[in-house]
Amino acid sequence: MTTPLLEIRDLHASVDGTEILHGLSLSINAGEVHAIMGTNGSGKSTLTKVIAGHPDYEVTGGDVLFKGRSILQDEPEERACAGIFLAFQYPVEVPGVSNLYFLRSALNAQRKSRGEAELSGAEFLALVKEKAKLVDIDQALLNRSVNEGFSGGEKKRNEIFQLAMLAPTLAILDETDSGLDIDALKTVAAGVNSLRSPERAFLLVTHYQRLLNYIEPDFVHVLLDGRVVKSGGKQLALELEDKGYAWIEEEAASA
Amino acid sequence: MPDTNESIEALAQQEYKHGWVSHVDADQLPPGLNEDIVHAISAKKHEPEWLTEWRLRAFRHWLTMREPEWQKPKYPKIDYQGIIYYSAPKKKPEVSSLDEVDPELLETFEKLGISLDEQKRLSGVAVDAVFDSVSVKTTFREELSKQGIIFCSFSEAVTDHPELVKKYLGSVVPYTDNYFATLNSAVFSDGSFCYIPPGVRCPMELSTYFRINSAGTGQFERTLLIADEGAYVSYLEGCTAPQRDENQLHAAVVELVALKGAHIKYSTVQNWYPGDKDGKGGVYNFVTKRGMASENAKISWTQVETGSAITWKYPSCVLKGDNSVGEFYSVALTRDRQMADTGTKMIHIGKNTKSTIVSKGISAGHADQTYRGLVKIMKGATGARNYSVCDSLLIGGTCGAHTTPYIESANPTAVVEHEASTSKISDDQIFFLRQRGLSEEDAVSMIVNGFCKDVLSELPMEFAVEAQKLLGVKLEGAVG
Amino acid sequence: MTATTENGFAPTYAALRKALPQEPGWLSELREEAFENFRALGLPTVKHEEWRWTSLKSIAGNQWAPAAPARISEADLKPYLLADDEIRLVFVNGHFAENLCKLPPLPEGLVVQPISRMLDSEEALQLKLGRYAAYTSPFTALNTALFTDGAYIRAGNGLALETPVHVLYVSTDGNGPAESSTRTLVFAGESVELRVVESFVGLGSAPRFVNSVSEIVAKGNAKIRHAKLLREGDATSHVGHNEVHVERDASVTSHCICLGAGLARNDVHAVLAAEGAECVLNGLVLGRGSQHFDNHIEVDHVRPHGRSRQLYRAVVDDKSRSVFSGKVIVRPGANGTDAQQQNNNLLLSDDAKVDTKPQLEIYTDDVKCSHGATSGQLDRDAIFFLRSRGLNEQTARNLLTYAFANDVIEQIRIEPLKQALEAQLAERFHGLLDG
Repeated sequence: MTTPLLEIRDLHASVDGTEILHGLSLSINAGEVHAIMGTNGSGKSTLTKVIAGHPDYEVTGGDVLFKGRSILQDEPEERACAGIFLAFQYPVEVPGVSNLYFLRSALNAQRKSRGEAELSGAEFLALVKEKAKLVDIDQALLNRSVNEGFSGGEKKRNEIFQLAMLAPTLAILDETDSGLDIDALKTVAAGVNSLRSPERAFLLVTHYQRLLNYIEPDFVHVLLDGRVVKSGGKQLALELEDKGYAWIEEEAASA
Repeated sequence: MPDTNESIEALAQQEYKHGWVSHVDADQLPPGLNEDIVHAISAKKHEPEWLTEWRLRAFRHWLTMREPEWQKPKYPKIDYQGIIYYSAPKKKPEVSSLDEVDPELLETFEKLGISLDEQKRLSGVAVDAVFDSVSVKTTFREELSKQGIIFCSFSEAVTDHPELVKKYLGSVVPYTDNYFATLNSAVFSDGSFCYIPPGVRCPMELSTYFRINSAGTGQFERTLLIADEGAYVSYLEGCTAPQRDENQLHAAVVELVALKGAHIKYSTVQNWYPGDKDGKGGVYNFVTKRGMASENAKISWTQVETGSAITWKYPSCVLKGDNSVGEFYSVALTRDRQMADTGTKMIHIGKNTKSTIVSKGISAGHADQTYRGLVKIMKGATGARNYSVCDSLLIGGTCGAHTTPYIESANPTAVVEHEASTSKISDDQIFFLRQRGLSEEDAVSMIVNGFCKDVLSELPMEFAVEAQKLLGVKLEGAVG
Repeated sequence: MTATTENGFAPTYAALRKALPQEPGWLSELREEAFENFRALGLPTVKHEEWRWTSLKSIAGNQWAPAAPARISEADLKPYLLADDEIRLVFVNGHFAENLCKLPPLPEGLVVQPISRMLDSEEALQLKLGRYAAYTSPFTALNTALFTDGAYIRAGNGLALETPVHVLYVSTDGNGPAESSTRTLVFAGESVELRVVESFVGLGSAPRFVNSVSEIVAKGNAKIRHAKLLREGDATSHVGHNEVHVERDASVTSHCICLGAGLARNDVHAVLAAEGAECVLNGLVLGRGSQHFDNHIEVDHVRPHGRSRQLYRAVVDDKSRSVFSGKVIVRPGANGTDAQQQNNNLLLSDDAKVDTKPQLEIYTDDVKCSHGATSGQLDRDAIFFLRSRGLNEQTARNLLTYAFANDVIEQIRIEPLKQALEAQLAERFHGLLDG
């Protein structure tokens, strides 16, 4: 049996002393696309931040293995360099720092950690040109400060652009679809689809089934009160769209 | 110009890399200050009588003045009788080529990163280096002189161009101006002098490096820069000093004269020794800088202040001529026990005068920083316009940041706007950058550089890169 | 500071001590100590950083006699009243004028009395007078030594009162230069809601020196709406200090409206002494003639999660002058502080002048602080816009000036005062609408 790319075992995590994840388990293999759905407050965002190593979240039990190794002691940048990418639900602005300058620094930091040579300016720009096409991002945005003055759609597109540039093995998208109009959603989905590969896995966290019409998941998990209470194929997402979450809550309560 | 960067690189080295002492024989006067010392300094420099008299008038006036105490940083009383007011390298470098300069002195500059040789060959930046009190070497003089540009040490200017010195010395900062400027007027030992003739655009950046070396000396250099009608010059100034336990006083005066339609751009990267972690030692940087702008002239001050135990200065513009423009762009970074009280004064006298102030302050550790700026609109300054923005970034909960703008408006048509904010680096920003693979320190450095961008972009290219590195280095260990 | 200026007040102090009735010992001692302080401090000069834009020659240059009690009629007072149902205390030349007061049966827990009547009976007065306003600054020290009377307002826990308490300090005309010093104490217990207006009114043209000190204390969760309204005469030099002390989750709003005085200096010092304390300090200056108004504000954030707002606006015409100095201090440990400060100035004439110094002094990193200051004329685009819609230029200017000033008035939560001021503003800047 192959080692899963990401394995989460009975994970307990809290923020400000309140436990949000109460024993969450999940396993993702390379090449797979997993979707996590759930109501507000079910712990979706917390899960993504814990995997990425946000310092405000405290793991109180369980483990997170990436490529078979526990990453809980790793700094956020070490996890990033290992190949974990998080697209933020609320992309952060960094005034005065140009998008390209930031990306080149990040990419070279990651390459350096893997023992690869840093990209020269010309190599980097060639890569930018190639990837910018993928997500249809405006060249002008690339020279502006990171996310400063970007529209909501531009910010999300910029996250996917960073994903394309940094080419992680695990991409976590935290509600990347929220607030997007249908055209922007299609562009973002097309970008993600083009990045699918046998080596790369996706974890899509979403509130709405709509995203899954454009990015077809291999597995759908329902999160309730900090635990995965139901898993299935993409059918499950359609069922949620039809019936809402109440029946799952009942099921979980009676189980 | 990547090669230029190398040559200034030492400015941006880790910790405080300039903390070595050169063993060059120094020709010193005994410590202390009286009329005899003033006479002696003047005599050593073979000055004409009018200048000796000017110094003495300043000294006598200084005796009647009281040391100011309104500023925020407080410091122990300075013993003015304990300071050596003149210290020169013994082998007086009256040299025409670099080969003749004292080898150890040259090595000193190599360590400083301003290898004059390199500079001369590669950079196209003309350099005047002031070592303790005496100007040592000016590169590129010949090439500049072809265009009528005079760039030399102050002493040489006194000898070779007395009419210019006599006309402009003290014309912007009179010897009665303030305690430290008056002291400087009495005892200044050397400095840089620059004159750009009418209509000439100076083809290269002019640059001065200052270094305090001998123990117990004060450095009192004087810079006088005159851009004649329609001329343009960009001038850079860099500063270092060795690590010493006692505080060293640096009380310089810079006078800029921008005649009709002239444009002077004056940039400073100040990295004097800031003292150790507990605030022991370090330079007191009490400097008076002021420019006078005639009709349609423009003066821009850009400064990156990372050094000194105490920085206390307000580069100013007197906008005397109609339509003249003043600009002030500043980044000040203080950490550990450093203190800075800095800002600018914009005095609007002429009609339709404009000024812009962009100040970015970063405080970390136990540092304390004050922005203090005056915008004064005189009655006749019809149509004057000022815009000021000053932002402070705080790192850690034990530092201080203070903003004190003074606005005085006596003309109803003038528009003055001031904005300020104080904030800290957000945890979200740091987490975002780390999630993309940057270390925490790189993340902070990137955020800080972004915060300062509006100012750094005003620096000449090669300085901007170095200033950025310098900020990064200075922030090491300041976060977390 | 000079030695001669305090001598100017030594005879005043001596005369006052002679004229005052028998006082309790603690008060005599307090006066002695305060006058000693004043003697040591002297009058500040423009060399003093906090006084660089305001010269006190009009005060230092006169020999001030204590103002004598005088009688005025209700008709004299009429233009300065706010509402019929206000609770009213009146002092004339610093002396209680019972005939002009209006004290309906007060709700239980509310005390509104002249200080002079509280000296023996009131348990708390001895503790409170001077407890918040330190008499370490020259004018507060001088006031503590020289005050003759003032308002004592105290509301017990839980009381909510919509009706404003209106305290009028009136100066009458007279022969020579005369001085009056008064004191106001406002004390709101837990969860109290209280509205207080202090009016300073000048009825004559003789030189007057009015020195007032107010101490305003809001205990836990209390809300105090306070306003100070200056309508002094042109020959009056007014110096006032307003000490505000805000405790946990309490809120104090204080407006300073400057309409009349030859020279007026108002200091507000607000201490946000406990978590969640809030203060809103606003001010409006409408200067004309050769009036000189100087507002000095200092907000001190001592504890976490405090919130402060300042909005000071000045409209200066003729040769008048407005000075603003506002300081926000955030002490170490006052995390989560949210402070904003705005000062906007409108110069209407060539000879008017404004000086402003907004300041932030911050010693902790978890803060959100900003300030802004502007000085200039009316927006030309806005004038053009209004003219293009058919208004003549003067009307357009008046309308915009009215709007500029009214932003401050609008924030006053004392209804009758707000209405009165809006009417006054409309008359001054709006009146030309018909013509």
